[in-house]
Amino acid sequence: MLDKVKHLGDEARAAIAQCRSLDALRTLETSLFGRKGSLTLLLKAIKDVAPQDKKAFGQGVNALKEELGAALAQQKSALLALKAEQGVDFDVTLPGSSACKGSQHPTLRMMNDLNESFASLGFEIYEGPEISSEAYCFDSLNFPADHPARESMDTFWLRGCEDKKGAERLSLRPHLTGASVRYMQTHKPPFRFVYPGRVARNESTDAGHERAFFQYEALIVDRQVPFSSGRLLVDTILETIFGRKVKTRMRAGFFPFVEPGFEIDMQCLVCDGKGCSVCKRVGWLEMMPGGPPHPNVFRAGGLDPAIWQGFYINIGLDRLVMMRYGIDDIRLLHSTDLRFLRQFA
Amino acid sequence: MKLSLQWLKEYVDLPSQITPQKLAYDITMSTVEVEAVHQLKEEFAGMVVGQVLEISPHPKADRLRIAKTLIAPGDARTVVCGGSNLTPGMFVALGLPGALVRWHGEGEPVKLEITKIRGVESFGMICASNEVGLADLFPATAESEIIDLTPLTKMGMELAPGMPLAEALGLDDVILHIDNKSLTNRPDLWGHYGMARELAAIYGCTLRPLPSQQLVAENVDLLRVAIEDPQRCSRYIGTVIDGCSVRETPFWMRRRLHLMGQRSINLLVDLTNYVMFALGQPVHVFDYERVAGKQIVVRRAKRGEYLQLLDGKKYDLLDQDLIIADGKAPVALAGVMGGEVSGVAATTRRIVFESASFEPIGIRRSATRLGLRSESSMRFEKGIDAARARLAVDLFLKLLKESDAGTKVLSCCDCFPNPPKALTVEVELEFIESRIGQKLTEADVQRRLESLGFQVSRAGKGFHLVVPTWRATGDVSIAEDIVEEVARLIGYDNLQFVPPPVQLTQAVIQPQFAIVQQTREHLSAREGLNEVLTYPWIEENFLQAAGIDPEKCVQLQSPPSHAARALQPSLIPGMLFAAERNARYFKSFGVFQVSRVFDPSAVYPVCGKSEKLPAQPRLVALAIVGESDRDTYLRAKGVVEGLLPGVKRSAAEFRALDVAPPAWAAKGSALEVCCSGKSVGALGLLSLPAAQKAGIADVAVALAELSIDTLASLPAQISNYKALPQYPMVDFELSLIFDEKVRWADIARSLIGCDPLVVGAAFLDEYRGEQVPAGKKSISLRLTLSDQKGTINSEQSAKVANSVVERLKSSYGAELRAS
Repeated sequence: MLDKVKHLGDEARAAIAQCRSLDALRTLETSLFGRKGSLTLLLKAIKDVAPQDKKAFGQGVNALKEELGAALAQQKSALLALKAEQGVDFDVTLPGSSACKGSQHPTLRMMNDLNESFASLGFEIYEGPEISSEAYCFDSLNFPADHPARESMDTFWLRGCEDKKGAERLSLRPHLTGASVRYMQTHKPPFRFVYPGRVARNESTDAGHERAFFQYEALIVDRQVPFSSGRLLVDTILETIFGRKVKTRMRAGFFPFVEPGFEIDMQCLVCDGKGCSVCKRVGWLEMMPGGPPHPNVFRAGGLDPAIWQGFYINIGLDRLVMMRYGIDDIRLLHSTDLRFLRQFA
Repeated sequence: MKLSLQWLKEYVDLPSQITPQKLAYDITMSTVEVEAVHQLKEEFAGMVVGQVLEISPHPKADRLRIAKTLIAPGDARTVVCGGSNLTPGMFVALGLPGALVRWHGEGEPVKLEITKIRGVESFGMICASNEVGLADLFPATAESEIIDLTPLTKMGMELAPGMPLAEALGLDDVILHIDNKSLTNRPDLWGHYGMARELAAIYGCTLRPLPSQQLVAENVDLLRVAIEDPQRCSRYIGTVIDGCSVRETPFWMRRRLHLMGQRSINLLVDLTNYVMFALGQPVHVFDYERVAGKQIVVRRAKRGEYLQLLDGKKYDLLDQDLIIADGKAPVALAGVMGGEVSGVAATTRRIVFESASFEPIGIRRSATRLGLRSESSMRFEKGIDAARARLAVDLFLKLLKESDAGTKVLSCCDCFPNPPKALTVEVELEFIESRIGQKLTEADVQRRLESLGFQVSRAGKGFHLVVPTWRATGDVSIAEDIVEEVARLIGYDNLQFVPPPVQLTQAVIQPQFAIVQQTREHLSAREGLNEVLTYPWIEENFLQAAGIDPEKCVQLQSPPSHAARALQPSLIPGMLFAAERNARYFKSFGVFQVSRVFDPSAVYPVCGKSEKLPAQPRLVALAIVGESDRDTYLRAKGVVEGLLPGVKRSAAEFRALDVAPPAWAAKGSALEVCCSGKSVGALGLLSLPAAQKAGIADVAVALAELSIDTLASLPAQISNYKALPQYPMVDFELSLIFDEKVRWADIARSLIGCDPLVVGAAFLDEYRGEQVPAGKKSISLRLTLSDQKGTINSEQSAKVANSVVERLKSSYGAELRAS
């Protein structure tokens, strides 16, 4: 019996010493110490050995167990050290594998960024209908009947409304502002809200013009809203989009639904106001109109202009998206082209 | 619109140190946008007055001559010149080396250099008028004619060799280009005098008054004026002037017209244009002899009447057109353009000068309908005050007398039936202060308003204001307008920033919008789909592919194209569009869109008074494009399964849509998607005929469309925590052979509940082929067992396995596949 122990010891010692991989060492360990391993079987056999040989055999087997255990541990650490020394055995310059190439549309992503910024200032989101009526697109916004501005918008009127007027003359909305009147009619001031969305105009298209595009509007109404404080809205928008403070200026501008009307310009980020081709050497970029709602607009919304003051801003999102990412053709935004959209993953 | 700085300075003394750039900036900030500032001096850099001393023939070219020319006092050089009118002693426009010219008036400007022309060195170039952009001012009468400056010396202008050309011609001016759009509501600014008044107000400097004249009385034997439609024409001043003899317009006036981009025609026509650019009031002259019946009638055109206008074209008139008629027929389209027959000619001695006020909308309609947007109609359609018509008469008469001393005014009829009442506005100081957000003094407000022409008197806590006539045509009418006037003169940029008063409000929580963003984030970030945007309208082949009749959609009156006249009532057509576009470049991809669609069969829930808008529900749609029908379909299904929990709704349940499947779905592929027992949308594989209509070939497309509105209305689901198993779970895999007809959903149902220990049954794989008989399939599945009471031993799991196999055998005739 002791021969068996010796034999196993010799074989196992040689096998451990020759073992060159951790996997092989693990297999070897199992063949010795596993449930049916050769050493395990010898240990199990102790109880069946004749009493007079039991002591010697038991001591022999147990000593071998200790010895082989130590040898395995030693060989394992030697192999681990060797492997650590060798390092990885594959090409780390291969590209990483990623399952996900999904993307949000850049315009809608920016819209959501703005929604979050405004929500943090206590602004609600509101959504008006995309098909609206002349009553909300023009009549309630202080556009006089027959005013050129009504036609300058190139509104997409709906078929079947050819002879109709006001609330019965329907169109895809040419701007968002009408939604603010819907909100005023159905909410109690004071309030502050944003109402972003898609608008459509019947224009001929090129790299800078598109028939469907996105706007972002905000309105704040309270008992006192000095219009210089409308700057807060402007700064919130621009800082959200460009991620840093942007210098702005407010100047005179005319829009029927505000009184007074402002054009709000942003200092050109490309040249920091020094003048470059992007800003046509002016140093400023026209960003958005704004101003307090015209008293007639307040009236259309059911609010008394003697009590309530406010401030609007309206910004074209597509142009900002184009500036943020350096996109040179607005038509890409509605192209559904994944070669374009996947760049925003 | 262009403005000449020198012209403005004739009316207002600007601060002496002000640069054109600063001027442009200030106008932009306070009034209207200056698009560009054009320094003419720069354009004429290197151009000087030269004087030709001697002329000699060119040895090698018949058409060229050599001119010995003074380029500065005492500095004569040789210049090779092909000018046909070149004569000794002549003052010429000389381009020195370095100057920019356009060869023969064409192409990009070229920089002059000292060059040899056919062997003779030429120091610069003697220029023709079209080579230096002066064709209007010095029209060439023959080929190869160069500019002859000599006549200017007879007009009292001093010329000397070496004088910069711009200075010599008075062209060292600055042109401000104003954005016309920003002038829409400011008809008072459509001329130099109006802008000069604005500058006087901005800088607090003095505005010079316009000339005023004592008018002669009306002589009805010479001319009668009648206004038949006083709504459309509130004032008509007809002046008869005799003795017109001078045809040549003074150089200074031609120069100003040239700067306005207006060609000189003859003195009378040039004067009308000059008055318009000066005051913004369009005026007109008729040849008196061609005004039949010695009368002017302002009336609506009669049906069938027509008019040959100065552009030489004939126009048919409608009764909505306002015309100027003589005793017989129309002679002008009021406010738009004069008639050809009654226009002044070289022989005209006696004229009728018209200065009138027309109602803007009518002018605009006629001009638009006839495609005749003239400088005149552009100004009238903004609304010009009636007082200005009189100012124009005074200015015209003064300038005419100066240029043509023999003229005499014979009659002046000022027909002004209903002079408008002065417009007044009351405004309190506090009203202005609260909107501007800072304290003001009454004296300051009064001073600023008076500089704009308001008559200001203090009344109670504020002001009683008389609006100047030139601002009373719709521009200024209410107290808010006064706030604007005061604020813009202070300068919006100079106002103190006042943050809105802080008040704590409830947090803004709007789940109906949050779900949209959750959907977009889930589909893009978790499922790897790309979000697309399609237009509200869509080409009809995509509608037809989706089984939608374009005639039953909301349609546009003037669509982007005839094929794209219908608006999408579902996002499936848009998804097909995106699939078709991208299948050219990609083999497999997934796209989605969240948007409103337009459903004419229902009504939008919150319409205004007497408004009936079509329903505009919010949908999310997705398309998975790939090679295999099965994989594409299952991927789409997986996305839907993931989406519902992703937006915090309960798990999706699917029901076969065998009765009314979507028209685009392949037979047997349509599933209704339900959530909390409610139908929220559908899922299916695009059928081959539908794919063909959409132009999609060789790829499989699976589509799903869900209602965001319905999902938003369902209760948000927060899944409760389940305790972890106390004892280890056991799972094992089985492969069984089934008949093709057997569906997984049925197998899964019979597995759950076949033994209390079975807590999960997962589909692993499906296999057809070798070792599986035809008409059969092998399905591999994994069962998970768990027991709350103790560890499951191998006997227990073997027993469960057996009973599962038995159950599948008896229910579906399944056979355990030998492994």
